[in-house]
Amino acid sequence: MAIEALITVLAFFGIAVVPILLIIIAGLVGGQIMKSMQNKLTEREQEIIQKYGKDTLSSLSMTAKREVSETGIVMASLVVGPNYWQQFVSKIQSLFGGTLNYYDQVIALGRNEAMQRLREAADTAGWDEVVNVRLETSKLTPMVSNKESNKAMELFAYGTGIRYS
Amino acid sequence: MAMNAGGIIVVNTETVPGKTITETLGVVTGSTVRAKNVFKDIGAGLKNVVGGELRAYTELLGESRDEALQRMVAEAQARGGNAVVNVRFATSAVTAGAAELFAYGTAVKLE
Repeated sequence: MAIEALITVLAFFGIAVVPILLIIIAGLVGGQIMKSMQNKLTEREQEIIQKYGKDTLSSLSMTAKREVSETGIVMASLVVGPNYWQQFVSKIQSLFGGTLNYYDQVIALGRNEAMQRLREAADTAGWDEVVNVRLETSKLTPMVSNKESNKAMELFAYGTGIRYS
Repeated sequence: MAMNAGGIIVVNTETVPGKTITETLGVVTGSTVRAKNVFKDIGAGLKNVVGGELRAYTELLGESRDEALQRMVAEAQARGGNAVVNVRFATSAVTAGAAELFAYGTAVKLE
């Protein structure tokens, strides 16, 4: 049965080869994507620091004893996920325990990006400073519960924008 | 995303700087449970291969959180408050593919 043999070969190809191919592609492209994200982020951070002369975020409930004219909430968030290569390496690493470097990197980058978005949101809304900044991390559940699906986490930053009079 | 909806001041500090609280009206909450779109899920799945930001999810969660906040503000308004202080956010995964976005705070009357 030539057709059946062909189907078996194709099925094997689909099951075994495609994931490996995706992992290799992710390994080749993923590093570049993260690098360019990091570079853009550093540039934007510098822009804000140059404009205000300091970091506009603060986790204190009130920073300066100055007259405040207006207040309001500011929020920013993003969802990031490690790529297939990073997931693959982390899975092997987690057998032995210790630090999962790739998850470290992805979360750190995502959190910095969320904080930068908060700075930019505050800048657009015209707030002079953001106080009482809180950071939150949450995991998104996969669409199909019994299957390994998209690994994604949400990094969320919020605070109170204040405008000095 | 400055939230001063309907003249209501929303802050996550304990007091509103420069204003005095005359009365507290209790805890107000707002929540939404949203499921992801299957098609967006496939798109995000493809993006997940190479990593980076999953924009479809970012937008979805942002919209849902705005809605939760709006509901909280509406409740504060119904109680006759003109500000919500000490606002907190929580996210929980209630079931597969859906997330609950929850906002709560204390409704107050400012002078």
